[in-house]
Amino acid sequence: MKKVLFLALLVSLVGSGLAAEYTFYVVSHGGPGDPFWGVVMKGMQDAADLLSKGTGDTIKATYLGPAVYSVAELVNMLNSAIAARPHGIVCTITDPTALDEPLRRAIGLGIPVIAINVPDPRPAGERIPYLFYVGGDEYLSGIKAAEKMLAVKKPTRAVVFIHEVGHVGLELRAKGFIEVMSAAGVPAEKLAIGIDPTLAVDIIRGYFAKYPDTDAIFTLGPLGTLPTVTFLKEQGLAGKVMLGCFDLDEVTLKAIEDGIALFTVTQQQYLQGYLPIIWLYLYNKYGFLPANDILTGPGFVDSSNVAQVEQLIKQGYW
Amino acid sequence: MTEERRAAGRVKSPPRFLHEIVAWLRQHPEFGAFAGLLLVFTGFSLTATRFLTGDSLAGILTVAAELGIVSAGITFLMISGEFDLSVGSVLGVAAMIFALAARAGWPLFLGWILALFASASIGFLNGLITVRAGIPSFITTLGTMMFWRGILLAVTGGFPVSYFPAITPTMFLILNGRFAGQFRASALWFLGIILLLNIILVRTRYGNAVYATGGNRDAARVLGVATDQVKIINFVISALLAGLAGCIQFARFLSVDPMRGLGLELEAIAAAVIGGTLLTGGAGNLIGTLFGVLLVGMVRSGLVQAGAPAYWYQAFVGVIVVVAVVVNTSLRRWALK
Amino acid sequence: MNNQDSLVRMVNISKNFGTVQALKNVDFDVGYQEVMGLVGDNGAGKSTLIKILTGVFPPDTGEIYFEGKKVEIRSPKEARDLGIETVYQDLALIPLMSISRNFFLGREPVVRIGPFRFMDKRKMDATVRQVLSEIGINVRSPEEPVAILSGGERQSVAIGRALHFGAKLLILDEPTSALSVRETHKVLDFILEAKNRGLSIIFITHNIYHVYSVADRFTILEHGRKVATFKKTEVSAEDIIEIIRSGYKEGKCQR
Repeated sequence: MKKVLFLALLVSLVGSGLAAEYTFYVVSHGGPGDPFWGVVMKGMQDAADLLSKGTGDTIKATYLGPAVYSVAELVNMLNSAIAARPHGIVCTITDPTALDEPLRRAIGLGIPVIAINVPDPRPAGERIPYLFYVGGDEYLSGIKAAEKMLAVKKPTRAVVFIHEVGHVGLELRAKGFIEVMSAAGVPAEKLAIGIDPTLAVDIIRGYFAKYPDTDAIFTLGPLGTLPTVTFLKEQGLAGKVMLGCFDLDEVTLKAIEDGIALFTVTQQQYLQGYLPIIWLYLYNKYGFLPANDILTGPGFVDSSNVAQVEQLIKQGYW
Repeated sequence: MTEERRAAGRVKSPPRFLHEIVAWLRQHPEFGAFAGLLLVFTGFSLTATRFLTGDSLAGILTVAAELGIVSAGITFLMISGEFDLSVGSVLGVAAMIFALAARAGWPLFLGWILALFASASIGFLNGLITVRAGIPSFITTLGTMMFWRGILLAVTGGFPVSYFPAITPTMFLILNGRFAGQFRASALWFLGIILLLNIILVRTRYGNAVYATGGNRDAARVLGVATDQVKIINFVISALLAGLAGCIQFARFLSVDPMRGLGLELEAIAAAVIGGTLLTGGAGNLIGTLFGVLLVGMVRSGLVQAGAPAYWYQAFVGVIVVVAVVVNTSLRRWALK
Repeated sequence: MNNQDSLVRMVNISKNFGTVQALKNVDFDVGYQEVMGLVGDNGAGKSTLIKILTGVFPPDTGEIYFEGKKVEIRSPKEARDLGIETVYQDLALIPLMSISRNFFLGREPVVRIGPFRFMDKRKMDATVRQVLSEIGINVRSPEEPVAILSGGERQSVAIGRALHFGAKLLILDEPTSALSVRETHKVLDFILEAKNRGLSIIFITHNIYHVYSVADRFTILEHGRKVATFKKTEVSAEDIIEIIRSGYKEGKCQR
């Protein structure tokens, strides 16, 4: 009896030495109720499960995000995560100034940090020294969107509808788009339309009355897509004006299905939960590091994959 | 007093017809807004080439209609001496209820009634809290504005709710269908509501009670006016109309996001104030609000068409509000001398 | 003096507010077609007595007789139904509203159109025009806001309103305090006119000279007690001032 117990103890000790346990935290500004971040969470969990099953190790990943947007709450959650001394932290750099101290402290304690969704925009020497960034590139998204439109047809006139003036991400998207269009010789500008759809439609109408040759529109999110699609349908311009959208929502997807919109730009946020977990494991275990940031966006959804994407949305992947 | 000094021969008496004009101005505070409207209309007609087209005017009316329905309700409440800052959130909540009911397959009429009932209940709560706890309505409705917006965000997680019927349902056509080119049913709802509320305000005993409650609540009480009841009823009216506007908007766009209606309250109050409604209560009418709303709608549309930089709208509307209040107040003071 | 001789008779009225005795064993009566001056220094209990009479709160002890019958006045509405009206200094009329609307507030005549009831504007304007001319106020139209009326004119309109709606007892709270000399005279004249038309009036004021010129009798309160009631013939204005100023002393004036 004693021999059996001793053997069992030996085996479990050896076994625990052979099988490692890794704990990772994903701390983000997105609340648990937000469907966008729900996809990120799924990516995170799928990666952890995959690794646990595929290797002999146990990988545990936890998502932390405030129910209501609050940078202060984000910092609190980050501090709690750091206190738990995990093997890695994944964090959205929503407010580089507020997150600077805690993240540098974590890195100083030897906890590897990967940034997702929002990078630290400061130059290499100044920014938070996280390992790398996984996420979309707003400026590049605008560029690629314009290129995609130009590949179909060079428009006579293009306009970007911005629904929240001053929003850094939106402004970058607009900038990329306008620069490419202008370089191709297409007159392009921004038009502020606001978030109220009734007013937005009237503003769009006024613009088209002034520039009836406008035949390319780029919207920067569902709040811009809704009034645009409504306007095009009401005025019978659907299909005559090229429309590129941003982000996925039912209205946008239906517009692509119906042929009103050419495409929508996505940042494939599933990857923002999935890839950092894989990489943190590889880094911890073998010291591997990618040579550059990993861009999960711009990705595109258009008529070629919209049906598939709709299915995947239901399953939680998009 | 001026009359006495005039009688004593010390002040020259103005001609008779001027007296009549002044008296008329005293009884019609909406004149300032009308004059402003005329001015703005003329200005844009001259500077923006496509301003006078049917499409343009229909567009202005469409924008004015939804804002106007909300502003009408707020005007009614402001005359009785209270504010409702929660109208934007109520609009969003009502639209969301309407949308969710439609998606769930419920009869649209039922969904609409439910949305209106929810709106009226929010208004009733606003009134009850303000009146029973004696808190300024500014504070009560500031709180409920944030509360209901928070609920909206929590329930939807930040994502829009859409509804795609195969063909446009009759209910939606009644609420906001198109006719005669670019005109919409929302304009008819707006004008009908303005007319109805104005008749109640200006021609019924209840309207008299509303003016009295806002003009001097204690005096009204002494004379037997049930001021608490009047206020609560008006809170219900304000919220109900905001909810109606939300449903009307949904009937056109078929999608509602949780930010719907954000910031609406200040625009609605601005339109009422431009139209001659006093912030302190006791004076104003729906015709003034009609002019105020049209003025705001015209400025927005006109600026785009005149080629003004897009970021100027807010600033312009702000300037107009201040100018309108100064003009209205000066007119009122002058007319009372 | 029995109950039938007085329009209103308050007997043995007492009222406490916690430890403060606002009124103690006060007897107070007003006759038919009489102007009664109710005077006394601040804190004497004048407003408490009036609030009991107008139904704001009940007395702790005592009874009230109105037109000979015992009554319990449980609310301002009940007081008004009996025919007791009050004109407070700032709460008589609402300046932003028209004279017509003010006059009929709470009692607007209606005209029916189908199932709806609308205010009968024509009747309201006609009535007010007539009342204004009787008072001697000259305005362009009854639709003008009350704000164009002077302080004295407003008081007169409020009194005229009470008269028109058949008030039996009118309580005036400091009606002349904010008025010019000329205006004061107009209001005092109108008070006499109202009395001649059958109204009884309780005139509360600090200005003894004003009330002296129109009152028939005076009741002086001091620290919650009635110290004296005088007919005008029994006392001069200076006497009353002296009593209030230095407290009641036996001797010269007796009741």
